[in-house]
Amino acid sequence: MNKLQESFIELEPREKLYFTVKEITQNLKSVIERNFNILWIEGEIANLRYSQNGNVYFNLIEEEASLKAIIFSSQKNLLITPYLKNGLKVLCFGRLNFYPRYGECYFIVKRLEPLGKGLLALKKEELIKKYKSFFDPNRKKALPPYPKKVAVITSLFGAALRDFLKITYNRWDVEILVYPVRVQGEGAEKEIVQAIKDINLYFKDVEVIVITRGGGSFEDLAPFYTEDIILGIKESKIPVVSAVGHEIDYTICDLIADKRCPTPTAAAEEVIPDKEEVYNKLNFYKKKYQQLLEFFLSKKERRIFELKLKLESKNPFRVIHQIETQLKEYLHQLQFKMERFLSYKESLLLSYQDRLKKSHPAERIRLEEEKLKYLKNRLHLVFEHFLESKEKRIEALSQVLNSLSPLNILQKGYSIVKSYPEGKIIKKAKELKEGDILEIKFYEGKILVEVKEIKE
Amino acid sequence: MEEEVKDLNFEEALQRIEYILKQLENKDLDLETAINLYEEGLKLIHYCEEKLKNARTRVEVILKEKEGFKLETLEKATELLKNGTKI
Repeated sequence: MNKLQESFIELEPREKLYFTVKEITQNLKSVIERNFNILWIEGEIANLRYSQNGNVYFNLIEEEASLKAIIFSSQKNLLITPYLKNGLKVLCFGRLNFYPRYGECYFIVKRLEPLGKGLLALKKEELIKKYKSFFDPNRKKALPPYPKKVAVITSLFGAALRDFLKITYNRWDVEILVYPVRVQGEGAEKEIVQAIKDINLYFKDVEVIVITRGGGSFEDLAPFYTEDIILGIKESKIPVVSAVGHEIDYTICDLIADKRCPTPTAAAEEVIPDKEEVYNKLNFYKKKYQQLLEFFLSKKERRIFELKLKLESKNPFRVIHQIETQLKEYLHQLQFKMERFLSYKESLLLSYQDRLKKSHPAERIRLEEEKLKYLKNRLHLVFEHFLESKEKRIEALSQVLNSLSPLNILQKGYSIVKSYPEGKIIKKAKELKEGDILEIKFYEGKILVEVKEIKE
Repeated sequence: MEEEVKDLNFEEALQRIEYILKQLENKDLDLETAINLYEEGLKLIHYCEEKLKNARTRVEVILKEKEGFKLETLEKATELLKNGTKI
C-alpha cells in the first residue's frame, strides 16, 4: 500500500504519464553517464571483432549478463589489444556511454588488464612462442597401432577415467595402467610430469601415455598451460596423447602432445584398437584372399583346359586313328581304282581277243572260201543264165532270121544280084556299067551274066 | 609355419597378412606360391582371430610407495586413495 502511494506521489508532480523515446533516452543517458562516469569492470571477452577502422568491439560477459564494449583506435596505449581473445577475462577501465540514437549503452575502454585465467591464455601464447620448435608436427611420435600396455595419467575420481574405461572395456587385449594424479589445482602439473617420468623410467613396456581430464573452468585447466607440462611431455620417449579440457579449446598440453583428442572417450577410441573393427578387417582380408586364390585357380584351370585341348589334338591314338582311317580310305580308293583298271583292261583284252579272233587266217580263209564259193555259184548261175538267155535269143533270132532269110524270098521267085567277085549287092542299075559281071543267085543255084545294056 | 605364426605378435601378424595380400595381388604369381601364401595368410588370420577372441582389457592402478611402485586393482586403489593418503 505504501509502495503504491509512493509511486503515486512520485508520479504526482509530473504532468503526463508517458515519455517520448527521445525524452527517455536522454534521461537514460544522463542517468547512466552521471552515475557511472568512470569505472572498472571485470568480465570475459566474447564476440570479439576487430573493425576495419581500427576500433575493437567485444562483449564483456559474465554468465547471463553482457555489456557491449569498444576500444577506439585512438587508444594507442593499449598494447594488449592484439592479444585479446574470446574467453579472456579482463579488468577494463573506462566510462559508460549511452547512445540515444541506438538506444544502446557502450563501455568505452581506456585501459585493459588480463585477469587470472585470461593471463593463462596470454601465457599460452607466450609459451607457444617460446617453445615454438617443440610444437612442430614433424616432431610428433606416431602411436603404435596395436598397443599392449597403455598408461593413463588422470584422477582416479574423475569422469574422464570412467569415460575412458567404459570405451576400452574388452575392446582390445590390452593392459591399462592408471597413474593417479591430481588434475587441477596448484602443483598438479608437477604430479603429471612426475607421472610421465615414472612411467618412462619404470614402466618401459608402456607403449602410449594418455593424459586426460574432463572440461573445466579456465582455472581448473591451469596446470595444463604450464612450462612444466611442455618440458615433461617433450622429454617422454613414450608417445603421449592428450585429451584435456574443452573440445574447442586446445590446452598447451594438447598442443605439445603427440596426439590430441577432444575428449577422454575419443582418446580411448584413438589409442585402443577396436576388436570389432579388426575382426571386420580380418574378414575382409579373408574374402580378398579367397577372391585372389580363386583368380589364380581359375587362371590355372583355364590354362589346364587349354593344354588339355592342345594335348588332345596331339593324342597319338587319335593321330593313329586318323592315319588309319586315311589309310583305309586310300585302300578303298586303291581297290576301287584297281578293280576299275582291271575290268577296263579285261574288256580291252576281250575286245582284242575278239578282234584277233576275227582276224585269224583260218577264219579269213574260210570266209574267203565262202565268198569264193558264193562267187563261184553266182558265176555259174550267171553263166548258165547267160547261156540260157543267149540260146533263147539265138533261137528267137534264128526264128527271126529264118523268117527274114532271103532264101525264103528267093523261094518266092526273087533273086539276088551281086557284083562279081566283090559280092556287093546291087540295088540300082546305075551302079553298073556295061560289061560288068554279075552273079545272080536263085532259089536254087546261081549264074554269071554280063551286062549288055543299062536302062534306067 | 605353425611355429613362425606363434612367434609373431599381433601387429607383425597383421602386417604379414597385409603383405601377403599385396603379394597375392601380383597376378603373375605361380599357383603354388599363391596357395602357400593363401594358406599362410589364413593361418595368420585365424591366429589373429583367436587372439581377438581372448582379448580382455585389464586395468591396474600404479601406486607410488616409498620403495617403489605397487599395482592395485581399480577398486582397491580407489578405496585406498579415498580413505587416505593422497589424491
